[in-house]
This record gives sequence, C-alpha cells and structure tokens, in this order.
Amino acid sequence: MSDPGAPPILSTRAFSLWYGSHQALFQVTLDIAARQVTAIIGPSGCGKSTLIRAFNRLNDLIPGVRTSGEVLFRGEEIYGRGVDPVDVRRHIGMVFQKPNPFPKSVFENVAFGLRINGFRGNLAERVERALQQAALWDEVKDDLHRKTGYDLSGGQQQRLCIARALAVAPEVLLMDEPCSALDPIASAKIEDLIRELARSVTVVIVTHNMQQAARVSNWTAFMLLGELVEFGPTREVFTRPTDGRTEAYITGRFG
Amino acid sequence: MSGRRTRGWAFACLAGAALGVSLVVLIILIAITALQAGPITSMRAVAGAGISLSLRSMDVPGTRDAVAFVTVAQVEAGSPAAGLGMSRGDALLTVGDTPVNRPSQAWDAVGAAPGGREVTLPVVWMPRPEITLGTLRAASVEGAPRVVLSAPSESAQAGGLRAGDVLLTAGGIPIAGTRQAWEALVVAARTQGTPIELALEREGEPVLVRWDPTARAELPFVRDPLRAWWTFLTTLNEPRYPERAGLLPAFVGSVYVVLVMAAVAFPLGVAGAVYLEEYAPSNFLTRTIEILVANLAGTPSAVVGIIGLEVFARALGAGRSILAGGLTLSVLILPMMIVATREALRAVPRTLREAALAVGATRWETVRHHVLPYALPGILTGTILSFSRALGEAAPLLLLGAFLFVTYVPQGLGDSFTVVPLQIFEWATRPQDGFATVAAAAIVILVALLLLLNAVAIVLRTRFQRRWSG
Amino acid sequence: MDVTPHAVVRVSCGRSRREGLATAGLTTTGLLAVVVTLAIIALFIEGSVPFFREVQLGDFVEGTRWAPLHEPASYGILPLVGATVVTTGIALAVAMPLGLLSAVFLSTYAPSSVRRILKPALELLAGVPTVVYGFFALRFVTPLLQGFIPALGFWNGLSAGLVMGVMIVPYVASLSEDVLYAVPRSLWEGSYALGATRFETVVRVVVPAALSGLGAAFILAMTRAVGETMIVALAAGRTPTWPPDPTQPLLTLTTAIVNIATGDHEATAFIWSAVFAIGLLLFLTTLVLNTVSYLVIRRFRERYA
Repeated sequence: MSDPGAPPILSTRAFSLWYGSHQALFQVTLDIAARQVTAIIGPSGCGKSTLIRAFNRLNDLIPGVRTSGEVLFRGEEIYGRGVDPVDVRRHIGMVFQKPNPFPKSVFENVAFGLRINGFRGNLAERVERALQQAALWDEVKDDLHRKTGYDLSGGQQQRLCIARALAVAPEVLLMDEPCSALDPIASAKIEDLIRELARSVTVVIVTHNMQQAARVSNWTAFMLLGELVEFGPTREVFTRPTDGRTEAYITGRFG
Repeated sequence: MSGRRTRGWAFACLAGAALGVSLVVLIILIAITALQAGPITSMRAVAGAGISLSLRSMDVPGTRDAVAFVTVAQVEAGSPAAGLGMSRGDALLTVGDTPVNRPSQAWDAVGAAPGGREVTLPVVWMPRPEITLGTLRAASVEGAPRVVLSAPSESAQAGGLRAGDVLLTAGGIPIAGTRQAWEALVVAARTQGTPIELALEREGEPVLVRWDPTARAELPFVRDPLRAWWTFLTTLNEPRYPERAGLLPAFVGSVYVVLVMAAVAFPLGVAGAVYLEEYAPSNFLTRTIEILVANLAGTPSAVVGIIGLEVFARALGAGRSILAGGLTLSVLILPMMIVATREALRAVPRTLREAALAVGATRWETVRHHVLPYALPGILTGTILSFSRALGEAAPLLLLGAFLFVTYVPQGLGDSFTVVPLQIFEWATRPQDGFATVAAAAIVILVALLLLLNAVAIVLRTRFQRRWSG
Repeated sequence: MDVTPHAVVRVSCGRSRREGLATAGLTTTGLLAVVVTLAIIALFIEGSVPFFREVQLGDFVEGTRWAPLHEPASYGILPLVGATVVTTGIALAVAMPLGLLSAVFLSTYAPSSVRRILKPALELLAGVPTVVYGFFALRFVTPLLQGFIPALGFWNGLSAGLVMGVMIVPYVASLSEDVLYAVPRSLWEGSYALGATRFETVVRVVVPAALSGLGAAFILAMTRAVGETMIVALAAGRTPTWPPDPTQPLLTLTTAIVNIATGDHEATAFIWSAVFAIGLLLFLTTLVLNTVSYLVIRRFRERYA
C-alpha cells in the first residue's frame, strides 16, 4: 500500500506532552506517510486528539502545556526554536469535531486563509477549486456571497471547513473526528471526500468510529491512555493485531 | 410533610416580596421625582409672559419678624409684561385671585387657573418705589426716625400726597425707613387689600389718606408642557431664577466630557481586555494586573476625583477643563470597560479561534478578523452600560471642581464646564422655591436618557445571545 | 497544486512585524493598569506626607473632633469614620436581606419568563445615577420619616443610609445571583433527588455551598456604600459629630473630601493634604476589601469550575 522507501511527511520521535502536571502523551513515535490516510483510533481520553493537535501546535494555546521529544514535518522539528507555529499551521491544515465556520459569507470563509497569507492570484478561482475539492461547489455556487457559513446544513458546514482548510494548499490535513456531529448520510459524503483528497493531500484522521477508520484509512494507529499501542497498515491492525489490547478494543471489549 | 411545604411556600413568598419591594421602591422613586417636575410648565409660562420673580422680605419694625413678598426681578424687553408697563423692582401682589407670598404661589396660580393651553389672568402689582412714592428722605426728630416724602411721584400726587409729608403708618404697619416705606405699602396692600389707609403728618397735623397705588392688568400666559421642557433643555442657564433655568450648558458639557472619555477609554479598554484575554501569559504579572483592574473598578468615585484633580487638572495643567473632566471619567470607566469587554471576548467560542489559527492566521489576525467582530455586540453592550454610568457620575467631577455656575455653552476642550448630574446636585442644594422642580426636571431628562441607553444595551445583548446560541 | 507553498509564505515578514507590534501595543496597555494604580498609591502617599508631618498619627486616628478650618485646627478622623460606619451599616442592613432574597427568588423560584423581565428591570434600576437617589432621600424620604421621628434633622444619616441601601439592592441581587448560579446543577439535583424541597435545597445546600461567594458580594456592597458620595453629600449634611447619631447631620469620609474640594482654598493650602489623607484611608480600605473579595470569588469559582 505505501512505498516503504518514501520518507514520511510527518513523524513523532518519543513525543510526550503534559497539561500542567498531568501527562497526556507518553513517548509516542510514529511516521505518517505522504498522500495516504492515517487513522488514529482509541477510546475517549486516550490522547488521540491531543496528538493530532500537537501536529499543528494548536496545543500551544492551552496554558501550562509542556512537550518533550520531537515532531518532524519533512524532517524539520516543528517545536524547534525559531519555528513560527503560524507557518506550521499554514502547511498543516485542520478540520474540527464540530463544524466551525466563520460568521461570514461562504466565499469569505474560504478566502480568509488566502487573504491573510497575502495570496495575490485569482482569488475567485482558488475559492472555487477549494469548494470543488470539498464537493461543495455545486451546492453553494449560486449563493457564495449571500449565504453565511451558518446558513448551511451541518454536513455542508463541515465540507465548507474542509474547503477552507484546502484553500491554502496545505500538505497535511488533520481531521479531528470530522463526522462526530453529522448524520450518517453527511458522514458518508465526508468519507468519500477523504478518500478523494488523499490523492493530493496527506490526511490524518482521528475517529471514534472503528468502521470509519477501516473504511477510509491506509494506516491505523491505536492509542490507549496516552500511549501508542499499535501502528500499522489498516488491514493488518484490524485483522491481525499484534497487541492484545488492540484486539480487545476492536472486538468491542472496551471503549 | 405539610409543615415543610408551608415553610417552603412562606419562604418563596418572602423572597418574591423582597424583590417586589425593591422594585416598587425604585419605581416610586422615579415616579415621585417625575411628579416633582410637573410645575415646570407653569414656571415656564410665567417666564414666558416676561417676568422673573424673586422672594423678598420686609422686617416688621419693633419685632424680629419678617414678612415675605415677591418682587419682579427681571422683565424681558418686548414681552407681554413689558407691554403692560411692568418693570424690574415692581412687587407682584396677586395672580388671578391668589395672593402671592412666594414665587411658587404665582406659578401654582398660573398652573391651577382653569382654561386651556392659553389663559389670561388679572395681575395686580405695586410699581417700584420711585414710581409709587417718588423720592424719600430719612430725617430724625428728637432721635426718632422719620420718613419724609421730599419729591412725590405722579402716582403719589394723584393719591393725595404732598411734598414734605411725613409717612407714619401704612395699613397700621409702622414706617421706619426709606426702603421699608414702600415694602410696608406692599405688605399692607397684599394683606388688607386696597385702598390702603396711610397715616401722615402734614405741617404738624395728622392726616389720613386712602390711596390705591397698585396697577392691574390682564396678563396672557401660555401653558405648554412640550414647549416648557424644550426651552428648559435648550436655553442657557440663568442661575438666579429657577423659571429661567436651562440645561443646555450642562447638557453640552456632558456630551463633550463623554466624547473625550469615549475617545480615551474605548480604545484603551478594548486593547487592555484583548491583552488580558488573548495575549497575557498566565503569570504573576497578569494576576496582579487582574487584581489591580478589579480594584480600580471598586475605587470610590470621590477618590478618582482626587486623582483627576491632582494628575490632570494640576500636574498636566489641563485645569478644570472638559479635557481634564473626560480624562478623569476615563480613569473611572476604564476598568469597567475592561471587565465588560473581557466577558464579551470570553463568550467567543474557542472553536472559532482554532479555525482561524488552523488556516495559518496569526494571533493578531485571528483577533482582528474573527474574535473582535464576533464579540462586537457584547463589547458595545458593555460600552454603552459603562458610558451611561459615566454620564450619571457627579462625584469625581465635583471634586475636580467643575464649575457649578456655568451660564454659557462650552466651545472647546479647554473650556470650563458643568455636567447634567452636577447641575442637578447644584439645583438640589438650593433652598429657594422652584429649584427642586428644576432639579427634578433635569433628573427626568437624565434618567430618560440613561434608561434609553440601557434599554438599547439590553436589547442588543438579548438579540446577540439569540443570534449566536442558535 | 500550482501555487507552491513557499510562494505564499513569502510575505510573512510584514505579517510577523504586525503581530509583534500588536503584542507590544497590547502589552503596554496591560502594563498601563499597573502603572496607573501604582501612580495613584504613590500620589496619595506623596500628597498626605505634609499632613502626617504636621498632624500626629495618634491625633488623626483617635481624635474625635474634625475642624480643619478652625483655629486651632483639629484633625480627628473618628467623626468621619463613625458617620461612614453608620450610613454604611444602615445601607447594608437594608440591601443585604433584600438583595439576597431577591437573588434567591430569581435563581430558584422565578419562572424563566418572569426572570427574563425582572433581571433587566433590576439592571435598569442599577443604572440610575446616585445624585438622583440623593435628591430622593433629601426631598422625599426625610420628610416622610419626619412624620414618624419628629426629632429627625433636615439632614440626617438615616434617610441617606436607607436610600443608599435601596440603591445597592440591584447590585447585591445581581452579584448574589451570579454566585448562586455558579453552584453546579448537580448539587441542586443531588438535593432534590433526596426529596428535599426547593426551600430546603436553597437553605441547606446551595447557600452554604455559595457562602464564600456571598461573603464576597457582601464585601463589594460594603465598598460601594463606603465610597458613595452624592447621596450623603445631598442628604446627610456636612456636620462632623461625635458620637455619630443617625437622626442628625453627619459628615462622612467622602463628604469631608467634597467639602474641602468645593471650598475656595488655594491649591497650595495645607487643607488639601487632609484630602489626600482621607483619600488614602478610603483607597486603602477599598483596596483591602476589593482584593479580599476578588480572591474569595476566584477561589469560589475555581472550586466549582
């Protein structure tokens, strides 16, 4: 499935993270392959959201957060001195649990990232392409400026958030349980979209839903209590887990 | 079980009653104040007829008593009163059929007279001393004071007085001095009516003259509440006469001071709140700032006034100017602005910030493009509430030494000024008739303005809550 | 992607400068609060130095005669402190029970439709300027009370204190309601689940749990009353008396300041240093009270966060 020779786009090396005195991640080491979908699964509170938010330094905003170990993006340490988290987030986009469009028009939602990054090309064209990539264009093209992000349905809002993230052409797209607030039909649409996106972008998705992980991902990481228990090709993790705890989880004995 | 129920019920009633009582007392307060402002219509009607009244008194000779009467302190040129020949210094005796002892009785008489918006009432007055009597001379015979009519006026001659007459009593009131002679005529005319029985000594012989020196005429009054309130709001203040009191200087002063305050406190308050909420690291300094802001918010306004006086008026040399007043009020309001703005910022969902950051916005871009616009209704609500608080604040400006008597409209930031609450304070402390009415009228205008501002703020807040919570 | 990521990052130099500028500017504003407060304290200490050089601290603290304009002048603060204690005490005796009960009613009993009307109404009334309350005390409450207490002076501490209490009710109610609201729903529900009535829940569970927060509300109400100026300036009179009698004119700390500041004194006159001495006393009192209540409320919030 993946090319073993290609260097990983994103990797962690013995990465630990504390909220104050509480340690949330323990020595996590994993490599994320470029242009593939990697799913992170595990029960609530296992640190999967913390890990994904560590990839674009969104945890920086929480007071009292400390880290050790490394997170490498294209071989570069993103927690290194002199690295601007703003730059990191430009290259590593994110979609959140609950759709969080800005209270602005659909167009402005997508254009915002381009504007602040000083994009000087054809704004309309880029917005259109991002919306097309997010499979939303046909539904909103007539109301780009009239409808606000809040006027869309939940599934549309989430696809708008995906379009917003894609507009600045990130290399990695982090998705933190993107379907948890959506109905099954909207979820299915997003899943299709994720598979589509993986052709041009690296996707890391955190999910509660093991079936979803199995459906969309090439790689699966299983986490428990802040530790990375198992990581491998999705089919192997789901069919021949090497760790008893993984097996217990995917067979539904806890979680 | 039923005992528990009853106790709970009784408590609920008690708690509800406590709230009810508080609300009712506060509403009564405002209602009574509004009622006190009622006579302003008739006060303005009297002023509109052209006369301003003032209270005088006559010392009764041989006693320590004084009898009050009312004189015309001012007659406006070209007014109906001037047309009837009234002039400054005349004594007003009756309005309609009501004897007038105090200015308020004249206003009440006009107010109570039956009829519509316009009424014409008979007015009786005693022209000023030189018209009624002419020139008097104080003499003394064997130590006893005597008042001699040296040059009688036309009116006195028509009444049968001659040059050289010695005035003894008027209506039984002893005449003891040249000033008091006319006052005795006024009091006699008012208490006993006319003609007055005047006891004289002419060439050594006692003579009794019956004389009516008063003038009477029909004076038109216009009782128009709308016009009364409007002129009250839009005329300069005449500090001596409540019926000519005007709120304009204080109103303009308030507007100027609040504008200066807004220009200083709004940007600083929003910036301070953004810093504390979005930027400040969680450390000792931040905690100290928070405690200091909370403290500054609780500092008595009188203490803020001392700060204003010492720092702005004296050290920075702004004097007792609008600039110093606005700066003083911004010290008072800044902490309130910061607290209110922080609350609005805290209501912005974290997901909105994360969404902006995740597409690579810097912290400032996130704040500028998303957090501030989202929090704006909340910030504006807090701003309006803080500003309305500042608009009603008198103590700091009182200490700053804002002038209590300002009879002109301030033109610029360097001018001295007064504000509406201070003007209310000044009027409320004056014992003369009518100033309580004027103070109450100013209160009605101020409270109406503040309630309007507060209502706008509350509507803004509820609409904003509804909009974002959906 | 036809636009390489680096092409987009190129302009970030100006952006980071703007970011730095914003941070610096905002930090300055934050520090301004510190500077202002420190400046105030310094100002008061500096202003009152000449006063305490002239007046013995013992005479100031224990003196029972306040006569700064007499010859010889006397600067005993006790009449002013006594007057402030009397008016504040009366005000709190009115405001605390009424405010607290109103808060309990709003948070426990009032149906949400009633609450939606009454809360803004209380807030509106809290916005009425204090000079209006002063006018009310002077022109309405004093004449009314004179019907019951014939010896009551035209100026007196009683009606000023009562009206001040009424003025603070909305403030106490709003603060206490916030505190009661911050008590977690689980505590209320836990009590209801045991079969407690609403009254029992409020009195036995919620109020004890909120006690520290309510204490802080009490302290804040106290600072409001201590610092109130216009009501006492209008209705309580300007006569320093010892011992303070609520039916007679009183001179509170705040009106003493007003008295001197509105008098016609040279800016260099010694009497101004008395303003600073009283101001310092007031400021330190409210500083201590405010800080205590701030810390108490914060601990209270943290406990139930």
